[in-house]
Amino acid sequence: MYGLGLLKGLSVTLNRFVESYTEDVRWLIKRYAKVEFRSSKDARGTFTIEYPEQQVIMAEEFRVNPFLVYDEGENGEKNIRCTSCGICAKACPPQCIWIVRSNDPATGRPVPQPAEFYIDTDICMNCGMCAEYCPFDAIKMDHDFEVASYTRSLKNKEQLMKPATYYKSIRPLNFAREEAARAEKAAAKAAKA
Amino acid sequence: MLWNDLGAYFNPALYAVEERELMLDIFEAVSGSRMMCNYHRFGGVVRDIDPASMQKIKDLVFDRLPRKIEEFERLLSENEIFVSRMKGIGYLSPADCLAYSVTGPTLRAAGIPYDIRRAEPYGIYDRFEFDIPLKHNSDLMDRYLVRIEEIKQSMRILRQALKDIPEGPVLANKPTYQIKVPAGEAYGRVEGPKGELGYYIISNGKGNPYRYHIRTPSFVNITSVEKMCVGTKIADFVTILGMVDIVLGELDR
Repeated sequence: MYGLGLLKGLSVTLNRFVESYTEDVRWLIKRYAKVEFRSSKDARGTFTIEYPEQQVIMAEEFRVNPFLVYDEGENGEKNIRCTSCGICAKACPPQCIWIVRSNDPATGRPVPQPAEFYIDTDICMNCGMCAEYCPFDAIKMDHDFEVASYTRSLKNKEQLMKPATYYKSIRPLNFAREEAARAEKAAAKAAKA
Repeated sequence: MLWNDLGAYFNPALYAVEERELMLDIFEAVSGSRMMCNYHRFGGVVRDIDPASMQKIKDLVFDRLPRKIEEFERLLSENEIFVSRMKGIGYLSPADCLAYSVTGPTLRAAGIPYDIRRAEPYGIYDRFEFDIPLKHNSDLMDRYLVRIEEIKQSMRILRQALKDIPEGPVLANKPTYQIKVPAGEAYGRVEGPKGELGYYIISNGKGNPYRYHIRTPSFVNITSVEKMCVGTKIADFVTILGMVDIVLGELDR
């Protein structure tokens, strides 16, 4: 019969229409648990979420803008892991990292600490190459994606530094893996000596 | 986008976006970014797929997507308005297809079984069992049916790939962010969803390429629009353009 295919198609749309209401009623009370359901294979009904209140589940590997990791000392001093070797600046495809090496004021010899460290986060394209090729696990990718600002955001060393505990909180699996690798290396070194 | 042009305003397109959203979630969990994945490296990939994402992929491929493809077909394939707007419109003869070097579903709907995955197998496509969908009328309806069939064949390849995906290291050599390529030139091509996607590169032995050109399927396919349009109604132009399935990023060459 002519028009049957049309009705068949429209039944799909009608089904979706009804489902969007029944699903809303179903998740009325625990609507914050809905986000998990939305990214599962049985997701039905309205697919959108109400952003500032609800947020999609963030994957551990998600990456925006790099930051510098520092270890907290006993008296609260910040021991920056970066040794200003410059590998991140070389690996960076858009070349948005500037490093100024520091010298010991007394002897004039270079010390393994950056005097200045700039990342132009307007140029940064969030590729994560710097974090991948850093041999000291000193530069890592952040999870903070709300980066809109009124000014240009050239970040200096102070703004880029974040504690290792923060890194552990956003990437627990990666942190555990790196700590294990470092402990193994230290053990091998101790066994040799 | 074709469905939009035909007046099914945003409904089918947004149904498809839902599935795309679930796939992009997997991209994000595995590689770190939704669009600019940066997942491949010289000699492998950057990291292994975590078990949770693997389970998600299996759920999608074995359970959700077959259901959804069936729903799309129910939504549109038999719709009388849809069919009458597409049957016999936008004919392009096989000889013209070859003359304009059209590739992809447009070429296969004209009865020429050309698919680079078969003609010149790359990657691991020689290990999979799949059919090349083929139609002979070379009108819009056939191009639509070829595309639907291609989705099903892709699912078939995915099922085989997931069945015997091996464990083991993901990167063959030492990680390097830049490699020195010996001087010379090379052309590599893959079968994209829109046709032949090729990369031509000339190296002079330094770290960066000396010359670099991308052969995009949309840019080549759109040249055939004139041939398809002449003699049809103006209202059909939109449909024909929608079926060529252009991506503006590819057109900007």
